[in-house]
Amino acid sequence: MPAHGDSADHRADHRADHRADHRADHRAGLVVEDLRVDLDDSSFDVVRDVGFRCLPGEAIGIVGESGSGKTTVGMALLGYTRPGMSIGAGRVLIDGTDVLSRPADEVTRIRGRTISYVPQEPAKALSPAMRVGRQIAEMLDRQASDGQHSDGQHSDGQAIADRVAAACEAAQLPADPELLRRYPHELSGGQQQRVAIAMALAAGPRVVVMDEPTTGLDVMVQARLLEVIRRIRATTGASIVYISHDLGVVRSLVDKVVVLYGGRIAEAGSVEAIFRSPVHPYTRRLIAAVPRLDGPRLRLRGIPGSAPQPSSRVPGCPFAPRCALVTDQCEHEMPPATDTPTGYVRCWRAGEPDPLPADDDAAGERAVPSRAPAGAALLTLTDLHAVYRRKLSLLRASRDTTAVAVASLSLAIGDGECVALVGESGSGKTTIARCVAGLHRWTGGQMTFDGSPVPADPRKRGPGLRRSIQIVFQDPDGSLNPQMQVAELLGRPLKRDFNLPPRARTARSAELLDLVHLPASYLRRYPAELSGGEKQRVALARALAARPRLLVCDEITSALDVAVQASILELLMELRAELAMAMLFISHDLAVVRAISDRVVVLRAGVIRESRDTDELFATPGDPYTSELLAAVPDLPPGDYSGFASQI
Amino acid sequence: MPAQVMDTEPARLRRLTVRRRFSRRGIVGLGMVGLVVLVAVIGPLLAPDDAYKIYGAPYTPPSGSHLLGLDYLGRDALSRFLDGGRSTLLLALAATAVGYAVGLTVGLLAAYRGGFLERILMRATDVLLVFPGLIFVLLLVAVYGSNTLIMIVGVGLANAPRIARVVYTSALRVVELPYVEYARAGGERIWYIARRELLPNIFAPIAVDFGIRLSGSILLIAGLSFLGFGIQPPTPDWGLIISENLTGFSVQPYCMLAPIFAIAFLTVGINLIIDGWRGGSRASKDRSLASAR
Repeated sequence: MPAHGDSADHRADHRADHRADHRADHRAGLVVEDLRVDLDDSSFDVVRDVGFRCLPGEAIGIVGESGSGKTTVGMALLGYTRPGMSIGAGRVLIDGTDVLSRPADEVTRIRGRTISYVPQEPAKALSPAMRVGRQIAEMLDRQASDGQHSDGQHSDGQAIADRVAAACEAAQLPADPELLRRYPHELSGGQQQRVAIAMALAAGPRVVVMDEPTTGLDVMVQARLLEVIRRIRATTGASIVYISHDLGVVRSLVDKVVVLYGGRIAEAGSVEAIFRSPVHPYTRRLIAAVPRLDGPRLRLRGIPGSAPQPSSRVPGCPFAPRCALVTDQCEHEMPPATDTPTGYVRCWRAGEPDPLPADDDAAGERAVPSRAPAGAALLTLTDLHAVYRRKLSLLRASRDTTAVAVASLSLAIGDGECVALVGESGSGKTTIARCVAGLHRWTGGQMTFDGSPVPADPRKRGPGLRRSIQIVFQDPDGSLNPQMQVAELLGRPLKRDFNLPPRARTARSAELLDLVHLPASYLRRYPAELSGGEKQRVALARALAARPRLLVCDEITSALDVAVQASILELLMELRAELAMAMLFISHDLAVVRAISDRVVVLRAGVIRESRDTDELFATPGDPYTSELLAAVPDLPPGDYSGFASQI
Repeated sequence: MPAQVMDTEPARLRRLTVRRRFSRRGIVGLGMVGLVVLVAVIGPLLAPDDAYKIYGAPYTPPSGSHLLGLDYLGRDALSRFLDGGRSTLLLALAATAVGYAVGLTVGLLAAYRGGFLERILMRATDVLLVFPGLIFVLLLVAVYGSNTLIMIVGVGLANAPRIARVVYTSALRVVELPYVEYARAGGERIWYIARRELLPNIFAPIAVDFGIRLSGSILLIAGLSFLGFGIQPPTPDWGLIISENLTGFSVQPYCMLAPIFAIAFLTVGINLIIDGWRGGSRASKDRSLASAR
């Protein structure tokens, strides 16, 4: 019985009654058995043999890469699938009642009342045309109009208002009636997500499925939201299913973890067991790919290859094609679930040492080389001042307001140096990147490159300077023109900047693909045929086509999975050593920054708070704001698996 | 997590199940348009009689010698129909092309350049949008006289503001995407960016719009002919045939039915093709252009 729903809630009481006999027995909470979701019109399944249990008041984390079936599982718990899929088998028991075997209209009633869902992107999940208070109340209205408990109490405005207030309080939304009268676009991203959480909690559900609720939010906002979720778990007694690809977040939030790979559970167990002594090679690789704030600065290792599509899975263990320990048996036979102290694992070679991170690689080699000697200043920004315009009126240009993005900022990047810019959203870090790349006009101050002044307009920069400064963007989906094949994407800068003839362009493009570890056959592919990580590699190759001296990386890994992120970072380190480029690396993720940069510049509201050597900054943060940022990062504790044989 | 989570699986799904470029609906559309074009192209060769000769009394109903009967002057309706398609289609295509030349330029320029130019161009577009197409062309005809060139340019310009609006709105979303910014940072010229980066990526909504504009042009030209400004009698033209014979609709409807059906076929067919086209290449994740509506 949810604690916050106690007040004058007859229906909840009523529900508790008929549930009372189940309360104490083994059926309480959420039990998922042998769940299978099929792709329609094919013999493939998206998810198979998924089962786990989550007691009331417990939180279970479902982790995995993009395409591992996390969201499919989360939605299937509500008896829902995306178009093109259907639930093929399995049971989803909530306090002993199987959601999947209920008739459709009953499932509709169960959703939101017994089990609710917090979507990933609140901005898209909330109706933009409805005031948020009304949206929360609607969850209750819908419940009340079911007609099951027509004692008149529930449509009572005051009762609904009370429950909306209770839900808001649980989601730690300010108890301000003014806030409830706002429209979603008038709220910040964090507030929007809290509204979505309040909606999910409004009817006092037994199970709350949260699908990456903090992804895309700023690190500080995320930290506050995670606090909200922890409190909900402690106070409502609901089972929480938390889906995320962010292992740090999961580590800090849940009791049990299910590791999903290729639609199958690779390993399941208690959060300590999974993170401290994982036995599945995939789990190990995944955890070893997480950049850390503590411990030695290790070179990250990605997992080669990419997550399998339902149609391209091998008959045996789905991880076999990417696994370093693979045997014939792995490829042909699905391993059975073997019990581990706190859960189970599906692997023929569970617990055997993974040769790659341990044996292949001496500890010394994996350590990040101490900072390269910074050469003469390559890029300098002096008193740079930049604003961005908020468009208010189409007719009157003078009425547009401007906001200061960067205020008299001075910064120098040495030849071959990697400088990281970190800060929350709105700190001006992206504006600086855009100024350097020639995409934003600054209003004051100077920029020089190699001693000569840099004009703001890229057309005025001259071909040499344009080539020297290249940028890679955050969004892999938007970085590449979807109508061009990779050959054309890479060929264009080669033609434009070097005037290479077609044959030489193809040869050089293949060379560039090789540099970013993609096969030359990818020249014929369109962006839609690449995964997110592959798209970022192509974007990198395109930037490298110009042989830049400074590479601007604007949050290039923040849209990627942790394993893909690790391999991109690995690649960047390699390229830096090979090509001797300087880098301006923009990120909100301090752990990533620590893994790659020589120097860190902490920005807040367009002003530099601190600019220090990376090792120094993480050892002894000088500015209180830096400490605050560091504290907000959901990091893996030092005792967690890091990929060394010595720990096995 | 980024959009790819949601996208990769359905995208792969579509690749697996959809092989052909057109759905059944698109193939029906292709057939309809093909038929009308065929009639327009080889029609004059098949015409049984002289389209200009008077064979009998006005509005004589269909008979064995005149399958669709005679028109308001007593000419063979079938022959006039078969003779009249070419001018109708060519004029409409030419006018639509003029419309796109102007509309694409204005829309793309406004979206890409932004600022002052955007305001001027789009406000001017709004002003022109206020005039109904017919009034606009009549205005031009009143000033410059009535001839084929004026009509093509006039009908084209009457379409241009609407085309500009559609192009502008679609391009607005694309101009701020990173790949366009990358081209800008690389110092690409506006011509290259418009042609290679913008245009292919706003093709879907424009293609949907094209069908509406083409059939609109046909109707507009027919309307002009009806008012006596378009194609001058006795030239056979589908639009003109319909307007000429309108008075006799209750007496001898058959002489107008063929051009009416031809225009309807063309309009519906074009829209079916666009609805049923699933994109020409592996490049498009979004296979159905219908979703652009």
